Amino acid sequence: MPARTDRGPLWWLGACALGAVQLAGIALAIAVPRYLASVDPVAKPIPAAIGYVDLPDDGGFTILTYTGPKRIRMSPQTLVRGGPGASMAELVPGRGVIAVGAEAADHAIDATLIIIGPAL
Amino acid sequence: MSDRVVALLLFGGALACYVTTLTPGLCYPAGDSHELALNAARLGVPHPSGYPLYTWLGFTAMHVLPFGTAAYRMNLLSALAASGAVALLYRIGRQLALPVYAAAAAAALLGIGTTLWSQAVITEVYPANIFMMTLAVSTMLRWAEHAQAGRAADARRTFMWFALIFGLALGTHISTLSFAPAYALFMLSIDPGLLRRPKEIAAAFTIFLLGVLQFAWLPLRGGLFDVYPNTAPTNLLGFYRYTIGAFGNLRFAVPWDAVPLQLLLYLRRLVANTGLGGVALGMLGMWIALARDQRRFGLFFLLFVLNVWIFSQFTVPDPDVFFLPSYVAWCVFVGFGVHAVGQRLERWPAMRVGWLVVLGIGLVVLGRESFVVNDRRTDTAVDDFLSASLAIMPPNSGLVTARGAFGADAAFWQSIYRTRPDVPLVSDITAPVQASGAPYFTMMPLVRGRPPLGGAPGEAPVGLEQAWFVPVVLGEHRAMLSRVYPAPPALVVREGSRPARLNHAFGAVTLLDAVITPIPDAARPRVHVETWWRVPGPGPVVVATRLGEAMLEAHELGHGNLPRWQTDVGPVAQGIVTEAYDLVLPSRGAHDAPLSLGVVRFDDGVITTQWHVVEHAGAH
Repeated sequence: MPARTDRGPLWWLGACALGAVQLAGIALAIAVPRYLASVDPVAKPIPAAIGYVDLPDDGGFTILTYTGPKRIRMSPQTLVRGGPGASMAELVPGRGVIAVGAEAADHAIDATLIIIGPAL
Repeated sequence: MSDRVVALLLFGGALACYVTTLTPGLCYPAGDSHELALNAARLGVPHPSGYPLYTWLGFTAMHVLPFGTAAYRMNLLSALAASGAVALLYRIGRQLALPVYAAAAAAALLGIGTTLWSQAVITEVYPANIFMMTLAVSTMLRWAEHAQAGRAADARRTFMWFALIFGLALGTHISTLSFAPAYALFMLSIDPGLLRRPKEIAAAFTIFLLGVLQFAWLPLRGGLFDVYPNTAPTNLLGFYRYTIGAFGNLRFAVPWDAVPLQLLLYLRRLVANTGLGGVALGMLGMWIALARDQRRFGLFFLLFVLNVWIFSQFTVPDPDVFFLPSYVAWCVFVGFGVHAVGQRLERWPAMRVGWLVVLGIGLVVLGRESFVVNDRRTDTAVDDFLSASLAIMPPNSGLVTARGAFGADAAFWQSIYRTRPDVPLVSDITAPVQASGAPYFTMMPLVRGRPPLGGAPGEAPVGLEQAWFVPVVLGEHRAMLSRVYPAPPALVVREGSRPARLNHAFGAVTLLDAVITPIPDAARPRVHVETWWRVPGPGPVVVATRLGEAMLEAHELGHGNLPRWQTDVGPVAQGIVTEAYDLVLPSRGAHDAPLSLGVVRFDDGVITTQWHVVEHAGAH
């Protein structure tokens, strides 16, 4: 790569784009968890079934039986995976928000969601 | 030390890590692995977008690599491709004038990142795709060097190579096409005169099409095998739907108000892959790269942004792997960040050495985490389960598997390992349970006691309204083999028919008795489990089994059949619920730990599992 260049139009274009992306990333990292913590995810329908699932720290697991609307109690430790046609969404150890595919979430209604803890 | 030696060392180091943790055979967590391996073996067409180049590479690996089983060789292909990508990322770093240590750190970070590592130890297309991506980027940078140095002939030749690599890369993942704007803008920023050379562009496009020509494989071979649930790519519409039209319903399908969450999820994945230090260095490195060369910065920035933006709105259950290209770009930026810090410390040699030590420790810590998470060398769940399932079926039994990609594990096992040719694999039961006496089995998961064979989940398959499906083999990862019964099997027996030897209460549920019988002559370890339970009603009770501290399986008692029993046969609470099945034990690992049965409870958001040891250490 050549040595440092002058700050021409390309630099300013890149700086604006990069600044915007980095600021957006920082804002997301700060604001979204705070927003999620401020709402009751159980009482609020989860948009596109993206949310969190409670998982105990002891590595246990459970099966939640859904008989109602898409309501998933949330906490930030785990990642749920599910697939169309599956009766159960399998929880994979992970960090952060869970994302249940829309089809899987629809399917999880009145079906069983199996949650397997990080001990697995 | 020459760049070639460093690249070789990085390749060898990554390969050693991956091979050490490689899955020995098929694996369940990646649902496509079986299908990719099966189609590589039979030169077929996997799920959309068909992956012709990957299929050919897999076929070659199966026939050229001299180690292990066919499935192991496919896994090894992933390890080789991922290691190649690591070496190529080092080359990219050097092409960007990063010093050796910074380029090596960037490459090592990619290699130990948990996502690439997770794919490098199983059969998947992503390592090959990342290899092709890094090869394309490296070739593009080479082109830029020639173009900027005025070496027109070299630039033209390298451009043609890039076009071919880019076209071929689509055969490892068609999403590679989404990077075309980044490459095009980079080329125009380096050589705007390219637009005035339409012949050169036409030649490159023609060579690109030569690479794309691999997709002729789809109509040639797509009609030979079951490609359910997709339409075979045997006409133009089918071809479109199988390639660039595939998964259109999943693209940009995330609602706008959910996009911030998806992006947050991405950020957390980035942290998981590069560590907080990697994120910080990458953010710094982006500014350094911008200051050094806006055009090259723009290439990697666009690759990163395009990948994150597109796939954060892709609704799939396993989105992480789709972000691998963004991790490649990020690791390049980390390389700049590493170099920037190193440069600042040039005046203080001791601190500079300290920086290198910190860097090394950080990589080791991150690599150790990845090693633990992605160590799959003892994952024999698929082979253990299939071995047990095929062993227990009487001669000429019918085995109903899911069609297409979802039933490829059994098909791979039977066709590649030539096991139980008397057992026909069928994808549907078209008639009531066989009158010949040979039973049907299914490996499909049960929904409310029934396999998803047409109709809504939980509904009875057509023609089998009266049939009962009861698991007879249970394995890890929810693997189950169920037997089809024409009449209600003995799921509930009368009270008093079994002495309550254990009589262990888990709240309202009582384990009356359990008999664990070792099966000594089995090819792979398994035990026969019989249990008797008293439950308050047909409502869901979740029971689980563990060996020592390792969870083996969990299932709903009665596998969803109890509500139907209550309706069709009689009250569940007035009898004793009984289960009998073969439990597959991991063939790699200790088998002498105590076996426990447990009941799972979920009360007010608190999840607990109560355990009771039913067989002591060494009994099986």
